[in-house]
Amino acid sequence: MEHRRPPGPSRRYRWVRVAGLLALLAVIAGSPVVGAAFALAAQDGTGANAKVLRIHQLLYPETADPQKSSFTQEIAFLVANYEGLTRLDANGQTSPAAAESWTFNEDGTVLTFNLREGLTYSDGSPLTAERFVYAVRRACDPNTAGDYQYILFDIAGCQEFASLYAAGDGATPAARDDAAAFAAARDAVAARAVDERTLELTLNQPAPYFPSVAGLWVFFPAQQELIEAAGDDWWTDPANQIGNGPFQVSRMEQDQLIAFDANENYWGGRPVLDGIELVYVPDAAVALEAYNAGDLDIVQPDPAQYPAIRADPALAEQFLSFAGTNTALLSFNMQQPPFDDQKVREAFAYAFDRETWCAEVNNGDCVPTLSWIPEGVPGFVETDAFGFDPEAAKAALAESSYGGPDGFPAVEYHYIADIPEERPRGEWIAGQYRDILGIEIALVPVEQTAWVRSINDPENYPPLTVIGWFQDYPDPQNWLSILWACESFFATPAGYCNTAFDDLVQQADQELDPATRFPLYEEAHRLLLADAFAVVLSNQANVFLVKPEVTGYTTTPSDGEWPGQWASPLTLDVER
Amino acid sequence: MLRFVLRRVLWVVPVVLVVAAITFALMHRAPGGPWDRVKPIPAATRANLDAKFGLDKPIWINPGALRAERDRGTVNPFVLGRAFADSQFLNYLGNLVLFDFGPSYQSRGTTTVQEIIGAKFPVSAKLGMVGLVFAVVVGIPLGVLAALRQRSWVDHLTLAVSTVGVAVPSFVIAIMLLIVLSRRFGVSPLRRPEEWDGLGRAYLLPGIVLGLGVLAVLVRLTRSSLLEVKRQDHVRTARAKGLAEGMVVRRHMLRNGLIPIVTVLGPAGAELITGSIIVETIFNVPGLGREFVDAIAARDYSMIMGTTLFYAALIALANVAVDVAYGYLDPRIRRA
Repeated sequence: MEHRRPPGPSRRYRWVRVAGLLALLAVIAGSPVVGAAFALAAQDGTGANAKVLRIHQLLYPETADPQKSSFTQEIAFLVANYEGLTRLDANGQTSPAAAESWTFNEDGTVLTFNLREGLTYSDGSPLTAERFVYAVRRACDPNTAGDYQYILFDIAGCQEFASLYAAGDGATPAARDDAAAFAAARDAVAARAVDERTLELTLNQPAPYFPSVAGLWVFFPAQQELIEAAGDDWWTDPANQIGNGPFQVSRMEQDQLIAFDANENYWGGRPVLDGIELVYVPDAAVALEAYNAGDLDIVQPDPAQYPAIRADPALAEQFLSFAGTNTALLSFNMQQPPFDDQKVREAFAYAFDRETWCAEVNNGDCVPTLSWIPEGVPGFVETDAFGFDPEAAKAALAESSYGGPDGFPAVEYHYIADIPEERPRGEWIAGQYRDILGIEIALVPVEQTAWVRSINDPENYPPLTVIGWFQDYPDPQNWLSILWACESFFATPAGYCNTAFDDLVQQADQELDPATRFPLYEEAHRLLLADAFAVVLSNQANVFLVKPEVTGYTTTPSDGEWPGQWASPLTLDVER
Repeated sequence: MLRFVLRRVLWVVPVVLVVAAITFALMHRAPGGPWDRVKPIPAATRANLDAKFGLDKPIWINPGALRAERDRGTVNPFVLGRAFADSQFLNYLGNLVLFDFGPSYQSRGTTTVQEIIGAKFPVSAKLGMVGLVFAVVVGIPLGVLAALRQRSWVDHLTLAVSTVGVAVPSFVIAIMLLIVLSRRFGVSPLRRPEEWDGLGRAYLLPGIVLGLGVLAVLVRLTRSSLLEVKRQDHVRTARAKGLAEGMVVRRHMLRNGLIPIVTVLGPAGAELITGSIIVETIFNVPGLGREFVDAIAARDYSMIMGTTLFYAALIALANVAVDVAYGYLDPRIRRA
């Protein structure tokens, strides 16, 4: 999923330590008269004793339409309000949700979900298999064109429906006003309600990971009649967001607040909480102040605030940090010299001190790793490949076609200019390579959208840059096949291609037996690592401040927006 | 006078058109587009999005469509013209005439830009008005006082305050005020959404922080302008003929000294009203300033165009208002 931290001004406050000025302002603002005037502006938040958990959010959803969303903050909203056929459990594994079970046919191309008995929406109306058929068709619809449309292309007919109006591959695109062609393509999407409780998906090829995909937001059963009656901006009105999740949204105020009530009709029982309030505060300094004042129960602090939080004994105890299901890489452009040379890549990987990178350069915002797939996700491997070793780094560089730092070309490191912390990080990286390998790195700032474009562009892929991946679903296919096979999201622009790797993941993608399947992925993963495809750096941590009153949650690595987000919606509790 | 005003207002139209063309060109020159994601959107979906938002058409003119129409044997110049003009820019202008700013890309087309401006601009405008009123009501009297009591403690204090106002970035003042108020007076740093309806107390603090910069400018400008007028002959004459001091200040000094202040007030007012990204972010004000900046990073083309043109028109109109105010204050300008 897409992850974005606001590049807003909050990240620039760090340098502000103008003590004298603070004193002057404190005198002005602290004088009783001025203070009394402002105190008039004071107003209580929620005064009631209801168990409403107040959670800080940095960014408001751009769209909270299940078939269009892609960003983590949008998904956090959707997962509270809706539920797919499966969901993640406390171990980060796919487990039954709206569907109580599922089966593949013998060759693995027909996937049948059995829905729970008596399943309803939060308003008590029945939730049938037909609702999920609508969600799938809507996600494949060329007019919907959501960011995650392609994730359903394994379903027969979906890609054809999505490409209905697109020219290419010799096919003539349908005219936009051709209603018959549209209806035919829509009905050809192989999602079928066999009866009220049975949903059948026909896949283009065996896809054992597909039950995990069926838990994603594109499957969330928003109601057809509400969407069609309200038009494109249906999602902005809570009255149209009648869901089947543990909570039911009751209020949406753009950029300010989203409030949920407990869903009394949830199949798993009513949540302990009476409700949740997502409070949108774009500035981390303000959020921390509100947390200290008791106006928020959970906040996401900014890495720049970690040292101050750790120095405060009370706050340090409320500091919660755990590795997320994401991995950051220092990525090479492998199409061009010098990084087309495996030994050069090995030298760069050996010379990277991941411990210092996480502990000092990133204020403890990450956990060092050498495995591309994070621990806890199938496909993870214990490895010491290219761990920090300056001597091995120098030796690898000496073995390379350059023979050493002399005559080594100048290398550019690209970083996102909009995020102030990126510059010192880049300087640290350049310093490391200068000190250990004797190689000069030039730092190139790039505006963030231009940077995103460049990492998807084989023509303009940066020589060196830090990229990251946030898992969509807990399956190695989501980490290997779609990213590092020869024609895939990361491999194509970076110029990575290993046919042995491709053979392995292709075989694994279609293998139904987990006992055969996961070892194949592990083998492929080891190949990828042995190729020094990038410098594997770290798993970015999920970091929160949590009030001691908040209890009843188990964290999973996917809890990027609040602890207990995925596994504990029913048991989360707050003392009032 | 009416003709003068009318002529100035009509001039806003070509100004907006030029701004539109420049913004459009710059925007499309910037690398990256609205559909760029770390995990790229596949070609089929991208094509659907492009078609939905008209990005599959040429940017300025569409000779291809013209040729296609001609090959089909069309002779109707109206149809041919339409085909030729079926480009991103000209379609945009066509819709603009109907006050349709197009769908916002960030919302995947679910909300229109005019809806967003309609919902958010009033908040920014109210905040700006609070800031402007604060700056004028406090700033001008302070400046007058400082000028009349030159080199007194009032003057020095005023200078200190205005220096702080100019030199200290608003986010520093904002955060410090929030912290001090929260810790010493128990004022929550958060506002409930309903507090932004109407003109509630929520506007007080951000309004003051927003107005501080303008206040500082006004104080210094009023002071220097009045110091200059103070020494002029007509003021000495007024005093000599025995006018009361209040009358001298109001009628003879202020009216003359105000002209440069009005000059800054127009653009400054427009600047305050269009919303500040920093103040709106810190106080979490649901205003337009943040939308504008977010739109640029997201390459939300219609939102960038809509807000830029809206601001351009607003600032142009503010300048017209300044010219009209001049005419009122100084009859010589009216006649020119």
